[in-house]
Amino acid sequence: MNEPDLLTQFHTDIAEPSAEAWQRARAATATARAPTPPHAGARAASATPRGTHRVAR
Amino acid sequence: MKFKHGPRRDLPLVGMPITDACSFEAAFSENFPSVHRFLARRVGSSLADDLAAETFALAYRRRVTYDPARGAVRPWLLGIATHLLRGHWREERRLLALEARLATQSRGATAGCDEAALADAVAPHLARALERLSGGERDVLLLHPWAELSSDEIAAALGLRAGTVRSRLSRARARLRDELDARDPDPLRPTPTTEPLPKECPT
Repeated sequence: MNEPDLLTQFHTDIAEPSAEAWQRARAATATARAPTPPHAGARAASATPRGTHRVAR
Repeated sequence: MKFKHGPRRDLPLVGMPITDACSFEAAFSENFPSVHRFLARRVGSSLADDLAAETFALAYRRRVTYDPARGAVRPWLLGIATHLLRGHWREERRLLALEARLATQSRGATAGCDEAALADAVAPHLARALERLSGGERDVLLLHPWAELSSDEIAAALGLRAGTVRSRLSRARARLRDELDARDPDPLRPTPTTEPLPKECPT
């Protein structure tokens, strides 16, 4: 038996993905699909304390 | 024995766009089992659940980067999954090492000389040999028999040149063969016992 055949027969006792695995993946893609709040970046930028980068005179 | 699970020639050479939610959902439903199965064979079912979920979340975020003209969506998804696996090469090696040890211990139960028995007998050596390959070599080597990708599809999945894939595949197979040959030329031979020999009776 050659290497590809041996590899094909190796780790064959793998079950189909469980209902929980499907659900978890659906939840993850749903999170990815959720729209990003508008101006989230702008709000984050405005929350940055100002005056922290003073230029030495 | 013929290689039953060779590359699937029935798959389309070009894919369909997955930019809208409906087509992405179809791609998810069709490909989730095979992506999960591939991950489970590499790192076990538990971690596969996490990585498969992460694969499809990432695929959705990057869906506009999928170019249907370059191939079907399955190799593209398996490329993302393989990329995520890179963070778990150490875990994969640990599992293979564990499997090699456990399989060696239970090897005495193997009986018969059919192909399944041969594969069973070779399993610990195969696990050890795979553990000794680099992560990149395992990626290329295992996408062929476990995900049924052709060399060209592996190249597309991993962003490598087809020639690079072929040479890496050839090198990995040679290393695997060397490891198997060096360890046990006859894998069905009974495992040598480590028990001390009985003392000779005094004459």
